[in-house]
Amino acid sequence: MRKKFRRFVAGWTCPPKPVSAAEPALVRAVYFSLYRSTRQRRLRVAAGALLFLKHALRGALFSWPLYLLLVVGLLAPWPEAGWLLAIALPGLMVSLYILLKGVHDDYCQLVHGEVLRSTTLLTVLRPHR
Amino acid sequence: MFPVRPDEPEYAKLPETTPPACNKYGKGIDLATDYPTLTGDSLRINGDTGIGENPNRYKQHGFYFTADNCIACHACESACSEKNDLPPHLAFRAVGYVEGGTWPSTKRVNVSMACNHCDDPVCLKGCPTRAYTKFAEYGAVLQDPNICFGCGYCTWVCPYNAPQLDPVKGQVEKCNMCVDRLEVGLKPACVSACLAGALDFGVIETTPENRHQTQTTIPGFPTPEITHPNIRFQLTQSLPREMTRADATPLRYVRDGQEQKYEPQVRIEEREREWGLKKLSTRENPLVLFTLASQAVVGAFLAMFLGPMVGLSELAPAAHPLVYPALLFALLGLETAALVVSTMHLGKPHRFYRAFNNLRYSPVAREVAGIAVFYNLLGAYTLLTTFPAAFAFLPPAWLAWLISAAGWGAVVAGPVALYFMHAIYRIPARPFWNHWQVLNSFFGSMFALGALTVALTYASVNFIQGKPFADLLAALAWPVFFGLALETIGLWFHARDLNRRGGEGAASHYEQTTTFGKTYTARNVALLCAIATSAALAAARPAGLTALWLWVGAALLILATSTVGRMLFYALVIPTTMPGAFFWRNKAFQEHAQKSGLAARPQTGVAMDAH
Repeated sequence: MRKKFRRFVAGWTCPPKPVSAAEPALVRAVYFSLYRSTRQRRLRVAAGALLFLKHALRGALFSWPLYLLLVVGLLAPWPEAGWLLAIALPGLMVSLYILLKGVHDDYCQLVHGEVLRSTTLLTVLRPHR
Repeated sequence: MFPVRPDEPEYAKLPETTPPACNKYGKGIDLATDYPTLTGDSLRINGDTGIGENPNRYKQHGFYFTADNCIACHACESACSEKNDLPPHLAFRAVGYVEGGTWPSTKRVNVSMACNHCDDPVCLKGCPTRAYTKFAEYGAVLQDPNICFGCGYCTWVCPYNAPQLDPVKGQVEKCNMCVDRLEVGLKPACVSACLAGALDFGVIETTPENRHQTQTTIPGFPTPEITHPNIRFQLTQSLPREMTRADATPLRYVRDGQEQKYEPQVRIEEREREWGLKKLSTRENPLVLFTLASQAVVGAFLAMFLGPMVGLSELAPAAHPLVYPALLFALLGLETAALVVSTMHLGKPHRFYRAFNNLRYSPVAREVAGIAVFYNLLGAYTLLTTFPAAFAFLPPAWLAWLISAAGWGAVVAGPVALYFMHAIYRIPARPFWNHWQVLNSFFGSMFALGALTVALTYASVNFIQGKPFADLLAALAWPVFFGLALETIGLWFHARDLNRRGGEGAASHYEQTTTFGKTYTARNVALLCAIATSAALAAARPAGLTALWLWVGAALLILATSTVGRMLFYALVIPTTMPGAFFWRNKAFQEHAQKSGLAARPQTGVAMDAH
């Protein structure tokens, strides 16, 4: 159980991407002071929000009929609504899992461990394979 | 750059050679001539921007394997695993063998096999995410696991079992030709580690030292015509006419009297006909659900949309203002469930959108795109027909046009998506699937399951409302009959053609009639009963509760037939892979290890499905 929990947590943690140990201590110190600055933290939050928006819109493009099912399921009278919700709710959970995992994947690859610049922040929206 | 040891032995270094202009398949060896714009770039291995100084950097390289020398010590496997830091359950290179003769005159041929970096790499074309690239540098076919979403289609299409699906990480990885070693003039790790001088490497069609043969095939090696692999063999020892595999695959290789080539044939054993129900369940169970549900939804929508146009006024939206949208939503729900199941079947479901990256070549990409278009058009049609008031801002004529366009769009997109779905399985490396029966089966299920869904829904509602429904059921019995007949005819030709062609397809059919023999017979009998029932229901036009019960019975029969048939479809396929060994690359041992718990020990080399 503990092993499974650890694996679950590890699945949602970005692998460490520290500045190379081979770099001089001064380079590493400058990197970390910059990476941990308030401005960089804000840029990372902004990049995360942009990634969330990108994945949410892309997900909605393909799976909007699922959300239609959910809306109709919430509006329809019982017991008919139960059938729709029985399909829509697990679908919604899978959709949310895919969304969060996708954002997490991109965040780890494009944002985590990187020193960001406000002028190039929108590049996280670019489709990358 | 890869660090070269000061005492690196000579046999680990690539020799200076002058290759001919073309290889045995007529393809140019100098890739710089064919692709001049791709030269001069760094391979950026682990972020290194350096460019190797290997003089043959832009020539197609390949492996040379002398089977006479291989002693199956597995040093090549160990070196590969160490170089690529592989877990115990993965191996980019594997040694299998075929054996023949009778004691004491027995012969065994060991074959060490990895990726052959083919001239026409089917993995590259099949991959929907474009994770594969064939480089001008050394002609290496490289795969990026960070792009892969773990569908495993490349492992289906490769005839040599080169790409390896890691069930723990949920992604595919494969041999990378040790391009980092090639950049500094060293041979790949597996070649450098070979104790017996069996494995060598270099520019293709340049016969290495101590060899004189450059054959393109060897007993147990699938036909090179599928992909034009860059591997050359030497085998000088005389072999018995018949060689068999050591793994559980019922195949043997028999030498043709005239051409002296070994062809795969079925290895007939003393087997009893069994049900094999436990073996019916495979990793591809989600695809059983996905394919059947998608076919049923497309068929049902075709019946609902086209039915009123061919005289079935009962199916018009106005005839049942509540049932029509309810059934549309049910279809939308069923397709949603099918899509959810198939997406979660991926190693990395959250990368699903990468399925559209290779529409140009990959049948998987085309299928996903086709189903996505159908799903969205079905959603649009459902939304527009159910809630027209929400679109009151549109002129009524525009709304009618939109409904019609969405409906006709779905009518076209659905069957097109099913056509692409069938194209996924037309794989030369999987002869059991590579038959037009797949198309028959998929369209047959579309007609049968679709009409059945609509018929049962409307008959139940009409029965509750006390309305007649015999005419509607009789009319919808014909598409059910047609679909089942289509599947049955295809199955008959499929079995006949597999036996005629021989090889892996015939071996699959042999499994079908032995390991799954009773299940296969029961399915065929049930299919014939279902055909007879649907024809009788169409001709006799029963009415009332009797008719409803008869249809429910027929529906259960057809559903069971379709499900078992589709499970057999996935369970039976025998690919044209290289032979395995007793424990390694042996499906029977892998199943045993997973069931008995042996797989929990990493040293067994078998992993539980965990992603």
